[in-house]
This record gives sequence, C-alpha cells and structure tokens, in this order.
Amino acid sequence: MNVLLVDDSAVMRAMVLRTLQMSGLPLGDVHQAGNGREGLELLQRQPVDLVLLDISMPVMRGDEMLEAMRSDPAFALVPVVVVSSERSEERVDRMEALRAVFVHKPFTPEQLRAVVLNATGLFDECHT
Amino acid sequence: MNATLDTTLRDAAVATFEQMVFLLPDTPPDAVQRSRMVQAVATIEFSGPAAGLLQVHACEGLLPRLTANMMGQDTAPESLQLDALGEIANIICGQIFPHLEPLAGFRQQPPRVDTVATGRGGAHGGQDRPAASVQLGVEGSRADVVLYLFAAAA
Repeated sequence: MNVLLVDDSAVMRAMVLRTLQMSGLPLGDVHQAGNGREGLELLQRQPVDLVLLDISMPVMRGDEMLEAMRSDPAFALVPVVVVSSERSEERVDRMEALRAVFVHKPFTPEQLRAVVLNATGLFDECHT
Repeated sequence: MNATLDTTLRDAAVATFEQMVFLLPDTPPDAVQRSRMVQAVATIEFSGPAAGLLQVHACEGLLPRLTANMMGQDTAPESLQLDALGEIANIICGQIFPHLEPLAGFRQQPPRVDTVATGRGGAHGGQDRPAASVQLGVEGSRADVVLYLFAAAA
C-alpha cells in the first residue's frame, strides 16, 4: 500500500508513519507533503492507495485539498483518512460527505489500523 | 480551580503522552521531576463558545525525549523539538473542548512555542488563576499543563 502523508508538522508526519509501521499494515512507498498544494502536486506524480491528511495547514488546508481531489476524476476515489485533533462538527460533516474518514488525535496504532483498513477496503483481505 | 476540569485535563494529557509519545507519565511527579526548571512553553489560544488558552510547560530534558519518541530517531534539531511540543499542546487542547461547552464552533489557533530564553515563556493573556492544571512526571523530567479561561464579554 503506497501512502501520502500530508501534514505541516514534520514531527507529526514522522509520528504517524511510526504508528503506521507499528500497526502492521502492509506499507509500500510513503510520500510526504507539508501542505495541501504540495500534496496535490505529489499525487500528480506518484499514484497512491491512501492519503493521510491533516486539516490545519498553511498554503492549502486539508479540507481544500480533499475538495480538489474529489473534483478530479483521477483522485475522486482515492481513500482519505483525516488525522486531526479538529472536532468542529461542521468541518467533519463536510469532509465526511466527501468520503473522508476521521481518526482523532490522540490515537493508538490499533485505532489507526482499523480506520485505515476500513477506508481502504482491506479489512476483508486482512481477515480472510 | 474546578476539580472536574482538572481531571479532564489530566486524562487528556496522560492519553496524549501515552498514545502519541509512547511514554507513561507519573501523576503526581516525584521530587526529582518536580525540581526541574521550565525550558519551553507551547500556547494554544482558542475562541468560540468559550475562550481561553492552554499551555504545556516543558521542563529541562523533556523536549529531546519527546521528539525522539514521536519521530523514532535519537536526535532532532531544536526547531523539531519545539514543533513536537506545539503538537502535543494542540492535541491536548482539542480534547478539552467537548468538556468546556458541548457546542460546536471552537476556533483553535496554531501553536506558539516560546523558550524561556526568549523571556516570553510565562505569558498567559493576563490571567492570574488557571481554570485547571496538572503536573506530569515524564521520565526524569516534567510537563505542566495549564488551562486558562477568559471571562465572557458582557
């Protein structure tokens, strides 16, 4: 599974990657971007199976990147997991309507694994 | 201070250190941990149904350990250590909102991290008394988490 991590904090990107590795998920290439615009540019060059996305970022926020992805047929179906401490119901509802799933910080490796499996449809594959 | 809010703050801080930093805090800290001096302070200002700020005071020795555990590497430059402290404050703060006011609409500012060397480490919006606070012993160091609530405008 190739992954794109989008977060303006280098520490959080490293921490999420570490948690993904601890969760036992089948990781392939992991790409990183510091904001939504960099994330979209990376997606153009590197197809991925999953995007892990923060919300509050400079230049382009996570919700703006998600909207751009969903309006582009090339990325409309790429699974997106929003990794955030944001709990604004309005923003959560809007992003869930764009087929994003949420994992709120703090989270355990098991919680992240469950959300990623659910988002990517790997759940059945990992349990058969 | 509000005992219920103290408990909420402690639970949020402990969960954050356990799950995001992979460290088990001691509450309360022991004598050695209590003797540590504050090195840096992360501040998150928020507004909405309630307004205030949350601070995490990191004592000497905590930042390198925090960053090493979060990133899985032995050393990190100071900029990343301060980034890590800001993220910890951000995550603790996000867990407090539902306990302050069960309404949506909180706006959380990005973290501001000051070192004691800058002389701004103790600034807390002119508030004298915190609404809640907790001290965590973390390895040989300490983190103080403090919540200030601003009075509503008349």
